Amino acid sequence: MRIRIFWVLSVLCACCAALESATGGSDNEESRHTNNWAVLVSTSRFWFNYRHMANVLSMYRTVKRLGIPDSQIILMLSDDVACNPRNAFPGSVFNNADRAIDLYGDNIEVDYRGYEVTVENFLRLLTDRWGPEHPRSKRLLTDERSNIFIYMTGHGGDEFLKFQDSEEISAFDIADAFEQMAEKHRYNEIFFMIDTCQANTMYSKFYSPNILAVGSSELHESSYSHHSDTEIGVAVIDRFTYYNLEFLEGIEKDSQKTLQDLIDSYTFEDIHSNAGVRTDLFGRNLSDVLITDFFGNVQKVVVDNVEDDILYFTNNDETVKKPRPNTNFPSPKKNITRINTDIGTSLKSIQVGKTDSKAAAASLKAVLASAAFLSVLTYFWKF
Amino acid sequence: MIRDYTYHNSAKSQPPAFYCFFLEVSLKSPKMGSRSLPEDSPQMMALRRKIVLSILFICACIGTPIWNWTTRLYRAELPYDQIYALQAHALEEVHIEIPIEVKSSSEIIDVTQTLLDSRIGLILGSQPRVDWRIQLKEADSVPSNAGYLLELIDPDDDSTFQDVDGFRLRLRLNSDNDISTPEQISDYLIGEIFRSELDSLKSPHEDDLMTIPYSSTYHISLSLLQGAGDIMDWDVERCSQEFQQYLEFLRPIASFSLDSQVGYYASLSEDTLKNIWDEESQTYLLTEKEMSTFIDHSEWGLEENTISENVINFVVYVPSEANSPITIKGSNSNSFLVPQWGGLKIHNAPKGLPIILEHDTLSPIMEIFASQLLSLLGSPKTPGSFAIRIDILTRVRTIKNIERALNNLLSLAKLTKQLPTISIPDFTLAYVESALRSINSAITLINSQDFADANKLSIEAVDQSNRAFFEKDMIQQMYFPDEHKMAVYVPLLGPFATIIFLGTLRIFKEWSSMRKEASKMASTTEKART
Repeated sequence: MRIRIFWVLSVLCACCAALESATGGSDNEESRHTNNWAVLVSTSRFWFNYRHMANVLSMYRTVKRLGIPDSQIILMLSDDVACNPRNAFPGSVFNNADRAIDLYGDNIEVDYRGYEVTVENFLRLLTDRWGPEHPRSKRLLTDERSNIFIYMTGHGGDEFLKFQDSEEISAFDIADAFEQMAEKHRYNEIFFMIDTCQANTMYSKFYSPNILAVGSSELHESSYSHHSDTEIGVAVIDRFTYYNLEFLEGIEKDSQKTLQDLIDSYTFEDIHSNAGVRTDLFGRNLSDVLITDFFGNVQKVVVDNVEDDILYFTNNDETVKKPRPNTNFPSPKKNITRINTDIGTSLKSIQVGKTDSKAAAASLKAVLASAAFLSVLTYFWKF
Repeated sequence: MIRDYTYHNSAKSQPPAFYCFFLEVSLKSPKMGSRSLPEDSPQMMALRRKIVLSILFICACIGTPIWNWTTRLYRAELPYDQIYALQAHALEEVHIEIPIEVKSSSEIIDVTQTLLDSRIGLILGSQPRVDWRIQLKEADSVPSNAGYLLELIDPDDDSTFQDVDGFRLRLRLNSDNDISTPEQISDYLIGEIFRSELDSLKSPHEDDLMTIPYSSTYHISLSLLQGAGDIMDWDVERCSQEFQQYLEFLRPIASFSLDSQVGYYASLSEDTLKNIWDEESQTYLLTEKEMSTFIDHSEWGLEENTISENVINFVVYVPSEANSPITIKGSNSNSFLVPQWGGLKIHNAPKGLPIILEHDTLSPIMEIFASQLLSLLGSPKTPGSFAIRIDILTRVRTIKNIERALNNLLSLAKLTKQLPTISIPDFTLAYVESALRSINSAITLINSQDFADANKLSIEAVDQSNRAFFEKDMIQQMYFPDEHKMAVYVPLLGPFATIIFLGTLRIFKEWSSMRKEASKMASTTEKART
C-alpha cells in the first residue's frame, strides 16, 4: 500500500514538473533578438554559374523587402554576371524566364565581389577579425541580441563547398567559426540555409547552440537547377531556392507565418532532392519561430518614458556643474598614463619584431624556391 | 630486344639527350636482371656512401627544421592561470565605499551607520557580488564641495526647498516619533537615492533589451526627415551646442561625437497608415504594430554613416501634408524609442507653411532625445538628481565593464584551448596582459573611491580584451581532410623519398657485404697462418 502511494505521488510530481517546464517553455516563445543581420554568399565564378548569383540576389531582394537595412546585409557576390559580355540583358539579372523582376535593380549594395569572395574573407567576416582599415559597412557587427540569416550557394560536395573554383571551405571550418561567434556572444540565433550538392553534410559538424540549419540535398545527392532561360542561355535559378522564394514572396513584414510552415512546404516533387533540417541545436520550437525573426527586421518599440528638463539643467543649472566627488585623489592620473605608454611601446616593439621576422621568412622562402628551381633546371640540363 | 631494335633504327635522327638516357637504362636493364650488380671500385663506393649520407644529413638537419618552421603555428603562451584566478576572485576584491557627509550629531551618525550596514548586508545577501557600503561622516562646518552632503531639515521648518540638488541631499525629518531619525535616513538612502544601484548590484549583470551595446565611443546622428519635398529648415546649430554641453556630462560613461542631416522624400510605406485613421482625434493613430515597421531603413538614408563607431540615431520625422497629423498612441511626447538603435519623434508641422523648426520648437524635441539617450545608456530612473544618476551609472558600468573584460578574456582562454589550430600572435598576448593590468588598476581605483578614473580604466580593459579576441592575425588554420594532406605531400615527397630510401638501402647492403667479405678475408688469413 505504501509503495503504491509512493508511486502515485511520484507520478503526480512528474506531471507537475512536466507541466511547469511546459509553461516555462511557452514563456520563452518570443525571440530575444533586437536586430537582424543577413549574410548572403554565392561562391562560384563564371557565366555558366549564373544561377548562383541569381539565387543570392533573390534572397537579397527578399530580406531587403522585409526590412533588413543594407548596412546589416553582407552580400558576397563571386562574379559579376550582370556585366558579363555574354549577358543578353546587360546590367540585369533575372531569376525567372519570365524576366518579371530585375534582381540587379536600382539599389543594390555588394559588399564583397569577385575575387574578394574567398574562404578567408568569409571566415574573417564571421569571426570579425579584421585590421583597423576594414570599413564598417563590410563587417558583421552583431551582438548577443542579433539574429543572423546565413545563406550560401555554390558547388559543393561531402562536407565542403567550393569557392571561386580554386579553394574550398569545409563543414569543420564553418562549425568552428560559429563556435567562436558563440563564445564571444556574437549572435542570439543563427538560421543557416545552404543550396548546393550534398548540402546537408555542410551543417552536420555544427556544435554551437541556437543554430537552425536547412540544406537542399542529402549526402550523395545532387541539387538541381529549376529552369533555363533560352535567351540568356543558362539555367537561371536552383530548385531549392526557387521554392523557398515562392514561399517567401507571400510573406509581408507583419506576417505570422513560422519557419515550420516554410519547412513543411519543401517536397521531393518540387526540389528533386531531400531537403534536410537540423533542429537539435536550436532552442525553440520551429512552430514558434516567425519567418520575420530571421528574414525581417521587426523592431520592438518603447513608448513614452520621457523625462523633462535634462538638457535645461545641464545647460543652466549651476549645481550639476560641480566637480564629481573625490576627483582630488592624488596619484592615479600618473598611474594611468604610465600604463598606457607601457602598452604602446610594448606593442610597437612587437610590431617591429614581427614585420622583421615575416620579411625574413619571406626572403628565405624566395631563396629556397629559387634554389629548388635552379636545381631542377640543372638536373634536366645534365641529361 | 624490340627497344634495342628501335634504337638502332632511329640512330640516323639523333634522339634528344634525355631520351638517350632512358634508352640506355632500358638497354642495360635486362643485364641487371640477369646478372648481379657490376662491381664498383672501393673509391666509387666510398663516394656513393658520402653522397647518400650527406643527403640524409641535409634532410634531417636542414630540411626537416625548415619544413617544421614554415608549417608551424605560432601560439604565444597566454597567462591562463592569471585569467582564471582573476575571473574567480576579481569582484571579491572590489570594495565600493560611498562617503556621505551628514550635518548631524555624531551619535545619530554612529547609530545610522550600523543600521545602514546591517540593512545593506540584508539586501545584498551574505555573499554579495560586490562589497558595497555607505560611509557616513560628520560634515565639517565648511562643507567640502566635492562629495555627497546630506542635510536634515527640521520638521518645523516650513521653507520650501529642492529635495535633491546635485550631490546635495535634503531630507525633511518626519515629526512622527514612531520612526527614529537613523531609520528615516537609512530608508531615504537605501530606498530612494541608491536603490537602483543596489538593484543592479544584486542581480548578475545582464543588459536589458533597451541598452545599446557597450562601446567606449558613440556617434550620435541627428536627422530631420520629411515625407515630402517642401521647404524645410531647423536651428540645429544652437540646439546641438546645448546637446554637446549635455554630452559633456556623460563623458565619464563614454565619449560622444555628433552630426546632423536633413532628408527629403522619406516616404512611409503604403501599409503603414492603412486603416489607422482615428475619427475621434482626427489623426492617424500609430499603435505598436505600425511603429515597429515605421522606419524604412533601406530608403531613408539613415544607415549611410561610414563612421566606425556605434551610431545612435535620433530622428525628427515631419510627415507629408497628406499623411499628417500622425500621433502615437500612449505617448505624450509623440515619440518612441527603438531599443539599441535610437529614438524617433513625429513632428506634425502646421499645414500650408514652410517647415521651420526654430530654437523654441526644437529644444523640447532635443529634450526628448536627451532623455531617450539616458534610457539607451541604461541609466537608472531614480533619483531626481541628474548628477547622482550619472554617478551611479558610472559605478554600475565600471563593474559591468570589469565583468565584460573578464568574460572576454575567459572566452579567449577557452577558445584557444578548444581550437588547437588557431594561432595566437604576440599582439593577443600583449593585449591580454594590458587588459589584466587595467582590470587590476581599475579595482585599485574603485577601492580608493576614484570612480571616474576607475571607469576609464575599465573601458580600456574592455577595449583591450576585445582587441585581444579580435586580433587580425588570430585566424584559425583551415581544416584539411587527411586525403588532402596525402594529395599534397605524396607527389612532392614521394619520388624524392623513394630515391633516398633505395640509396640508403644500397649502401647498407654494400656495407654489410663488405663486412662479410672482411670477416671472410680475416678467417682465410687466419687459416693461412695456422
